[in-house]
Amino acid sequence: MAFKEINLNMGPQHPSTHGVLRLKLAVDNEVVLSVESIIGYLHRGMEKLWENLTYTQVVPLTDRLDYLASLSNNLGYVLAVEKLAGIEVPRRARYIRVVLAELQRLASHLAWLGFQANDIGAMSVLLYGFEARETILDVFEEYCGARLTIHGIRIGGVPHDLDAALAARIRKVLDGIPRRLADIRALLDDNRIWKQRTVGVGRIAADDAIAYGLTGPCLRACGAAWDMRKDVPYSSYDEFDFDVPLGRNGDVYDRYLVRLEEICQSIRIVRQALDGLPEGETSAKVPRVLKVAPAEVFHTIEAPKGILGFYIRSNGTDKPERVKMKSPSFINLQSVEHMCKGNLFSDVVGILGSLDIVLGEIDK
Amino acid sequence: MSRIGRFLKSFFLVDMLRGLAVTLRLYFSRKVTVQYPEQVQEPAERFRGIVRLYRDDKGEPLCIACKACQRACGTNCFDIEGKKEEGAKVMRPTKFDWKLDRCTFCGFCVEVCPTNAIRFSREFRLTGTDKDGLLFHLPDMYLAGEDLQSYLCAGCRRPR
Ligand code: SF4
Ligand code: SF4
Repeated sequence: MAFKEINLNMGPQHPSTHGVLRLKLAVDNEVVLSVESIIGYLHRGMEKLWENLTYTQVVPLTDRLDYLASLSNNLGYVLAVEKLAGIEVPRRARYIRVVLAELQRLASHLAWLGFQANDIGAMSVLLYGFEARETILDVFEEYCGARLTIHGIRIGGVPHDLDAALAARIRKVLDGIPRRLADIRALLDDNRIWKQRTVGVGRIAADDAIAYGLTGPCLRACGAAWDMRKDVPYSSYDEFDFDVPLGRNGDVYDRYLVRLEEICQSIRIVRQALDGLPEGETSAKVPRVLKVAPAEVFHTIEAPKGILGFYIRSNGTDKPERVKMKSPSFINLQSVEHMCKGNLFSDVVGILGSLDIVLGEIDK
Repeated sequence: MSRIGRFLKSFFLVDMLRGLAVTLRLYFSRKVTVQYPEQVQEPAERFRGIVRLYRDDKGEPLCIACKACQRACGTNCFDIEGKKEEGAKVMRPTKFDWKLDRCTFCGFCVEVCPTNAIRFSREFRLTGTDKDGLLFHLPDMYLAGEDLQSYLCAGCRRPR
């Protein structure tokens, strides 16, 4: 058949774009020739908005960026402010933060697993993954009263202590997850449809991934070992023993395996943090009106989706002069064209899903 | 694994059967879905629901119109005015407007209140039929339970 280029529009209202993302695809029969992502449908002007709020008031708004891992956003921003203002966080607070952040990673990866499998056509995984995630959200609800937009970290520490009852509950939740994970693995790991839709699909080599700035599990699936928790430890992560799982082929299947293994490693970290929870304060002394002398700072953390960074410039008042966010979803999305080119049209959904993007974070 | 082993495995649909065994087992396991609204799950102790004003044991209002909550709120939910009556010991609010549609349930107002007058209730049903129902005035801040619900939903029927 003669070569014929057809332009197709996917989104902004499409169940598999995970939000309001529009993709302009050029296809030749079934093969994708080019992808152009058009963003901005969820733009709320967050960074500008933050310039009019005090340092403390910004924290609950960071929840609304990556709303599937809101606590990681809190942590990233709060750590940047603490670095800027020179606040020393007590060790117990740092440990509680690690527990919460790793639980958030679990919740985020489980949600991803469900969505990804659902996009490819395995509906039951969505339900099983969400059942496990639900137990984690219940822990958050008990800890600080909210489930999704948690606001569970304050500048200088954490809002509540982690008491023995809650620790016991977290342990129980952690015991339940590997069982659920085994069910999901039995459904997917060897499943021929799953493998045909994922193995060798959306490949990216490690060099290209680094050139595109890909971070997080997508980068580690190509075999490049880079994890901020290990390489530039923050918030006491250097005191825990965990592995950084790596993939080999950089395809959708490896991203799936890497995330599954990260779930197991996160469980390990949470267990260690609960066992070694030191005594002490849960918050440093922070003035109610936090004024920061003129300076600038950039701090990055390993969020579930990749490297999340906050740049803050202060001007001596209680409000930041400028906040700029380096959001992992935005940068990971840029490589979608490279991954989709030459693949089948129907695989665009699977590749996009495997990047684990959240539009709240892309459009800010 | 040998090639024959792999072939046999794929010929006899071992991967599919393993998956089907999982779904079959979970089909007969205990159901986890809560059938809202017939069943309602009790929110946690610290649940951050609608913020409400509280009175002390003697029925006196606790709020002293200090506006600390108004200053702490990042989304400008409050509009408070207070006055000290002749002979009264403390200020009392004469106007206390709170906008549910702006609230992010962050908890700053609850944390800063010096008299513990404003607290989170465990009310999670936040829907109204009209924007007016989402604007709370001073008396409405003390509503709870079904009264609160009829307030939220009756926004359109309330005289303006
Ligand atoms: S919870 Fe937060 S957003 Fe809501 S009224 Fe209180 S301070 Fe404002
Ligand atoms: S609710 Fe509390 S913080 Fe707000 S004005 Fe009344 S006393 Fe002050």
